[in-house]
Amino acid sequence: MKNNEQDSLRQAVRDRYGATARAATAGEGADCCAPSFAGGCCAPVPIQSTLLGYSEAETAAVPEGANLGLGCGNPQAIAALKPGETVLDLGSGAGFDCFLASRQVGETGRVIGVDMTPEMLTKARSNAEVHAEAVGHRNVEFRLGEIENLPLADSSVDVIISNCVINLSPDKARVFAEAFRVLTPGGRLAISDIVATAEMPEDLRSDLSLYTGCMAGAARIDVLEQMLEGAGFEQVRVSPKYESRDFIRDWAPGTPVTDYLVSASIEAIKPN
Amino acid sequence: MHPINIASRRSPMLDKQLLDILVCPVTKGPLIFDKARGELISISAQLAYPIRDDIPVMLEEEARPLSADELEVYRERRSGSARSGSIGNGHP
Repeated sequence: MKNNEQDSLRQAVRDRYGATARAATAGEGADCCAPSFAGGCCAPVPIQSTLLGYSEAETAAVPEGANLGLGCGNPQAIAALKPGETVLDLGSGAGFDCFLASRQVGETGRVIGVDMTPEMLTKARSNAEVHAEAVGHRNVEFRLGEIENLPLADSSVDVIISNCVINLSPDKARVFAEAFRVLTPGGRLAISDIVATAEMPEDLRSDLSLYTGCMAGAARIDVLEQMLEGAGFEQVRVSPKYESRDFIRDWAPGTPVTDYLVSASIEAIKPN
Repeated sequence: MHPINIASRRSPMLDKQLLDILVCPVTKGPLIFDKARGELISISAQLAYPIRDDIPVMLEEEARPLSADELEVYRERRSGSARSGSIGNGHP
């Protein structure tokens, strides 16, 4: 893909999630999918968090407004976080997974969220205040940045989480190379994302709203495995969650997306 | 509810430990935190990254190119801080 194509895809993603954040702030919620909404549809349609593997206690534990229902799994559960760990969330959005991770790693741990959409980070920052008041410690920070160009030092984080974001990157190999670089030896990747179980037809693949809606950019499972191994990761495991097709179906009604797409957990280790 | 440290409330997004692992996204080189200007300086990329609403904006296209004079000042400041250990962050 040419650089200018990558840039225009990135801008389309930024526009869509900027509009989603603004609509959520305005209290419009799901109404942003109304035809009158200037930002276009806000799909993926917000999903009930319990369907993604979050407990009700978890969803109750984060500031209202942090959970925009834009994920496709529960990465911090996959990650099995331990107290004291430093966690990086790629595409942290309004901060939902960061705040859950913050509780898991505790006062001695650290959580960093990186997102390229300013409106999302504005929400995340105000949610961080509420979160800090609730838990009594301040261990979550946000950076405006691109997941292909991480502003973090080599070998500086123990765990990388990400929820339904890497599919949106036009340069996934670079995302994994950057993830590998910033992880400590022995560090791990714990991701939820939409993946392709078969090659999608061109008309779906080239649909921009399916791209920004976390569908058209999904990589095939074998390609993802190759990219992760190419970046240096070991113990690569991509585990499709076939029941996720029940909610993916609602993201693009009338299209055959569920013939090709599924949510998966993606795990890998940076060798010691 | 627990009490929150007032000092940390003032600059919640710039924790020292997390500043230490923040680097320039272009060169991956260290950054100098210019508190007065509210910028993160990358000498290696010759760029100043803004901090908006306490959030470091680590995007090349949002950064301000540094003039030769500014670079000189920051280079001096860095070598000064290496002696005193008062500022500077990035790789240990």
